[in-house]
Amino acid sequence: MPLTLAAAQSDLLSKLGIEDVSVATDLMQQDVIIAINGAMQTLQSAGEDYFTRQKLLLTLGVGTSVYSIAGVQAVLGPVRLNDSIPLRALESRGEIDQFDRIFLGGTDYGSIAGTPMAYWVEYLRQGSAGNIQQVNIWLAPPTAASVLPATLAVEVVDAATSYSAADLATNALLPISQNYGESIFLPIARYLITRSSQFSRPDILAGLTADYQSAMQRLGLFGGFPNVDQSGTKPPRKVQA
Amino acid sequence: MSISTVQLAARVARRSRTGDVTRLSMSEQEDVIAACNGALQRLFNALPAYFKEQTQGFLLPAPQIIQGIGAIQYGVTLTGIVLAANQIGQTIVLDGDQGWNQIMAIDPIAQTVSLLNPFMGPTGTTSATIYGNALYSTDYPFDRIIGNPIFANAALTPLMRTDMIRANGNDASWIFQQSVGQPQAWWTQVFGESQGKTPLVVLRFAPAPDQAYAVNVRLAFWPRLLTLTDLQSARPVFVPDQFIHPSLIPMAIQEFMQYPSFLSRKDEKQVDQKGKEGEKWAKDQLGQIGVPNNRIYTPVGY
Repeated sequence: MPLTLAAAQSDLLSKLGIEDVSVATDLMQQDVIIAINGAMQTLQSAGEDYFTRQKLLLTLGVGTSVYSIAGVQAVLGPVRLNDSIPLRALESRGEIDQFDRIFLGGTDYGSIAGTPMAYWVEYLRQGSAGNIQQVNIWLAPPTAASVLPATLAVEVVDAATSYSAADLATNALLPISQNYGESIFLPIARYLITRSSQFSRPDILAGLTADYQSAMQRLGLFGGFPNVDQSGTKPPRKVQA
Repeated sequence: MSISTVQLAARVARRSRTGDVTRLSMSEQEDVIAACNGALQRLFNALPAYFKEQTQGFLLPAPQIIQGIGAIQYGVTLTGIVLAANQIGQTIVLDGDQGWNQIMAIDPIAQTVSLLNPFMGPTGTTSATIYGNALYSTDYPFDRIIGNPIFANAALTPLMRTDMIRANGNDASWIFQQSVGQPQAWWTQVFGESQGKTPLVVLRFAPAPDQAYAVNVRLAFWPRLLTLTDLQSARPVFVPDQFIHPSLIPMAIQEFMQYPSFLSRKDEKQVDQKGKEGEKWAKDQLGQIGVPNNRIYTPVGY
C-alpha cells in the first residue's frame, strides 16, 4: 500500500509530539507540508531510477519548430517522432540556428521544414512569480505538412508535486513508488520536520539524522542524478541485503 | 549484403562516451561519421585495384544548335540559355564571333552560361553551336583516369592522350581545338576547384565530334562521403563484405580516437594496432582477381 498524505502527516506530527492530528496547530501543519514538499522535491530530483521518468506526447504542427511544455523539471530524452523514430540531441542553440549549415551542408540559417531529425531543449526563466520555469523543445527541421499527422514522444521528469495544508484533508496517495516510501521518503521528511520550531525531541534527533543520512546515501546508490551524471558511466548499483 | 551506415556507426559508437549511438548528440554522431569516412577513404586506398576501378560509358554528343541566346559584346555571360551540367567544358561557337569559346559554368536557375572568353560579336540575340568535346559527370569523378578512353565497341581505335595540348593557350592547341571530325586525342582540363570553381576537372577531346560517339573511360573512384542523412536513412556502406570486420571497423575505431566523444579505456595502443592491422590486411590482398594463390611458378606479370 503506497503512503498516503495522511499517513505521512501523522508520522511527521508524531515527531513533534502530537499523537492526535486534530490537535495540531496550523503552524505545525504548515511545517508538515514543508517537510513533505521538501522530501518530494529531493526524491524527484534524484533521477529516473526513482520512477520519475514520464512520457509526454506532443502533437506536431506544420512548420512549428518550438514546443513549450509546462510542469516539467527536466527533459531526459529520448525524444521520438511518432513514438518510434529517435531524434538526435543538439548541444546548443547555435546548432539549431545553423542546423542546415552544420549538419546538412546547406547555406541557409535554421532549417527548411521536413521530417524532424534533431531536438534541442531550452530551459528559460519566465515571469517573476510562482513557477518561473519554462521548458522549450526545439525541433530541426520543423515538421513539413507531408509528415503530419505526427506526434513527439518526450521522456521527462515532471516537476515535484507541491502540496498545501488544504491537501492534508484529502487523504491522497503520495506519488511515490512504494519501494521508496518508508525507506527514503519518510526518513528525509522526518529529518526536515526536525527543523520545525515546534520540534522539541532532542532524544530522537540523532536517530532521525542517522536515518536521513542513510536514506540520502541510498538515494545516491540506487540511482543517479541525470543532470549531473550524463557520461553513461553511472556508479554501479551496490544494493546490499 | 553489406553493412549499413547506422550499423557501422553503432559498432564504432560502442567506443563512445555512451557506448550507444542513439544516445549521442548530433555533433557526436558527426564525430562517428567523420571517423567512418576517414576509415573508408583509407580502406579504399589500400584495397586491390579491382574494387575501386570501373569502366564507364559516356556520350560525346553531336553538335547542337541553339537559337535565341542573349549576348553582350565583350561580356562573358550569356543569358536565356539553359544547358545541362554535363555540358560544362564544351566548346561553344557563337554567331558573330569567329573565335571558339568554352562553357565554364552553367546556372540553370538564372538561365545563364559563363564563357571562357569575352563575346566579340555585337550585343543582341544570337545563336550558337555547341560541340560535345568535353565530358563532365555529376555521378562519376574524373580525377583519376586509368589509361586512354576508347571508343565503345571499337577498342582498336583508342583516343590518345596528348600532353601537348592539355591546357588552353598552348601553341599547338588550335590545331585540334578548332577542327571538327572524329576525336583523336584527349586531355584533362582543371577548373580551379581550390578557387571555389566547379567542376574539379573535365575531359576534353579533339577534334570536336562531328556526330555522337560513345566513349568508354576507365575510372578510379573513391568512396562517397557518408553523411548524417545516410545515418538517418540507413544507407548501405559499399565495402566488400570481407573487409568490413577485419579492416573497416577497426580502422574506423582507430580514426574515432581523435574525436572528443571517444571514451578512453586506456587501450589506445591496442586500438591503434588493430587499425593498422586492418589496413595491412586490405593492402595484403591479391592485386587482381584471378591471381593464383600460390606464389611458386606464378607466371610473370601477376
